[in-house]
Amino acid sequence: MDPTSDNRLMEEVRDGKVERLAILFERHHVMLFNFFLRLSGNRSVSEDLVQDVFFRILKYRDTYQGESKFGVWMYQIARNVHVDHLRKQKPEVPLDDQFEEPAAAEAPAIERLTAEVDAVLLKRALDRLPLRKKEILLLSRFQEMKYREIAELLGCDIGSIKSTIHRAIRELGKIYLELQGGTSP
Amino acid sequence: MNCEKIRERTADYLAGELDEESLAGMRAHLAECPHCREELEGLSVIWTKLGVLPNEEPSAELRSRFYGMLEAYKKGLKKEGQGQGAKRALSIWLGRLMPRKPAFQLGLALILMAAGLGSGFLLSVRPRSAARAEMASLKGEVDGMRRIVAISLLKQASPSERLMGVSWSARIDRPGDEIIAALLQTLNHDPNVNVRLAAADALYLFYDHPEVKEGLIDSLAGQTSPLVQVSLINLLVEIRERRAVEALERLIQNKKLNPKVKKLAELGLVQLS
Amino acid sequence: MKTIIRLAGIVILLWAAGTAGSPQESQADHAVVNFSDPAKPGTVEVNISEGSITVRGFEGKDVIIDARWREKVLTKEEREGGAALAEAEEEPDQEEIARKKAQAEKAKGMKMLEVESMGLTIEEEENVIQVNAEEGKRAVDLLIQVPFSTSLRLSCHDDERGVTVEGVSGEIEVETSDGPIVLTNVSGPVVADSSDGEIKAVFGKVTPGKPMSFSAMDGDIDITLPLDVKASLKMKTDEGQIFTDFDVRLTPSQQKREEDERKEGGGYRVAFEKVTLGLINGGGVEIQLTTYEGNIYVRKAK
Repeated sequence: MDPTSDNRLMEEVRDGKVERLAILFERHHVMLFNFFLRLSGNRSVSEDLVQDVFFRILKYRDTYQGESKFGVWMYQIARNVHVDHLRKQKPEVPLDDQFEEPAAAEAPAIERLTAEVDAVLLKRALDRLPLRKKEILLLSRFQEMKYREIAELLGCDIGSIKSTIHRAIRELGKIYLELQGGTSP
Repeated sequence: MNCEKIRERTADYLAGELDEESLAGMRAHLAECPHCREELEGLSVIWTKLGVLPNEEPSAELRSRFYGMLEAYKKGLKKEGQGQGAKRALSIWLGRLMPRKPAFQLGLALILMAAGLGSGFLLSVRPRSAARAEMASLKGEVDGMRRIVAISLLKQASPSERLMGVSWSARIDRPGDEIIAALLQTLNHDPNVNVRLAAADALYLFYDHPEVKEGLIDSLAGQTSPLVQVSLINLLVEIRERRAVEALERLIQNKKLNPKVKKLAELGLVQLS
Repeated sequence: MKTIIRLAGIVILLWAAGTAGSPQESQADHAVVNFSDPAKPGTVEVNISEGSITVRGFEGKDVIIDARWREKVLTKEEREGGAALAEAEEEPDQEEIARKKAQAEKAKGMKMLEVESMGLTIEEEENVIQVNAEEGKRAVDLLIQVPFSTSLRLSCHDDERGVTVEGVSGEIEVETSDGPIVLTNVSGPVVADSSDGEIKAVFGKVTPGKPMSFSAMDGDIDITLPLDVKASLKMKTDEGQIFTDFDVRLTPSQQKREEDERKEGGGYRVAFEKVTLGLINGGGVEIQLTTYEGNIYVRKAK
């Protein structure tokens, strides 16, 4: 096994070389941060959740099996962390306050402005997807997990993951169009 | 391959996971099925756009927090190392919580996930009024951005970009005075006939806005292009604006008026009286 | 830095008695103009009041302008009118009569030569070349060759030849009052209008994301688009018809948008759009087509 692979590193952490976790942190914390950011919309909450994940990795390092890929295991933990966070929240979480729009420059180039509007609309649309569809979409499109791994992570069959992806993209497209107000620019 | 199979393979297609054979089969079907083609293209666009969403950077604090925690943990371990027995007991206990037999582990994971999903699902179904209020505030924010883009586009030298500016203005949910003024300005002073026509159409969508009706009526007197005159006459008749009667009468008096426009104006008068 | 060139076409017209033959084409003028920065696409703007403009894209970096002035032939009315005007002059001043008599004396036995100078002004500044015709009596036919990627802003008023553009891929803005507008092998975006002429455009390809618009009062609008174009058409004609061989997904021509947001403190709004909206291949580039009496043709490129 590749000595620097995630799996190997985590096994070393499990077996006592905890400082190896630093490498895993450097490799994964930005992706994890964005995963939580897209789920929660809140930067500081997302940072807390990332911290939480690594804390739990340390705490439960003994339980790491080489059988599951490290990424799958880590996102299992990540989802748990997120769920625990949601439970602590009040139901009406304001979702639209945290995406910080960069302040408009003096003479914004048209292309940059329209691209920014586009990105914000898409983020908003993503926001409005139901949680399960959103998670699966994020794991596939952003965390770049294979469908097989997501199926393992969520404990369901790969067919249902694929059809959820299809439905999620379709729904995302619909919401995105609606936010644009009809046919594009 | 039929439409059903295309649907099944969409997720793999988007992720670039289709094998040569399936890809070929898909392409063959798409060549003949405009419906699937359209759907797949739409989905591909969204998939690609998602890919372009930028990644954000966490603050520097995150890293220092992590390393702080790692250090603390290492120190704690050293101390615990002195109490070996306790640590072993802890790990065995934890081990029981996360049994090593894969099936069991999966089952436990399922339970955990189900619980997680359950609450997640409930939380995502917001009460209707909250959802609508959210949509409204969302629209407000999008409007704000559209306003900036529209105003900027309307000032460009290229008529195509000014057309885009009119188009963006038309899409604003609640145009403020600034947008209405910009559209009226464009209707009255844009050097290009096409852009003026587009502005008239856009203003039509907002005719319940106070300045618009007055603006459309006033504009008629100043227009020299017969096409724009036709457009305005049609709009004023459509919204049944009786105050336009005077403007139409004055227009008809104009000796230089294109005879077709004159006929239309006369018809308009009849309809408005 | 501005470059100014003046083309002075000085032609001597001979009016022998009774020679009202077919208009001869007098000498042509030729100019080659460079863009300040030939590496970047430039713009050519042409404004003439009488004449025709033909623009062709070519594989080069410069702009080549050929101008042919047409002889102005006075119509019978104009000649007679001119004479009548001379007679109708009230109270010719004694001095004036004397002067004319003296002139006639001096010119006895000679023909009168009419000298007209009529010119084109060509200016280049920061990659924009402006060609303007001075308000003269003679019409000019311009043949301009431009690099393929040039953008054009063309305006002319003529009753036969109008504006023709071939093989140019930049943005094209055209207006004519009487003459037709014929664009071939262009990619847009195109914004064109004509009061009396017809508009014909054949697109080699269509630049996505840039709206286009065509308006004609009397004439037809006839555009040909590539098979696979993605376009959102917005078509309006008061008295004409709309024809197409594309598979256009039409939305009803009266689109009622009803929004009741009174409960949220908003307003109640009903808006109609009096246009025919159609989507080709799912929609995309916005193309506006407006005529009063003419027909609208939207053709598939073969």
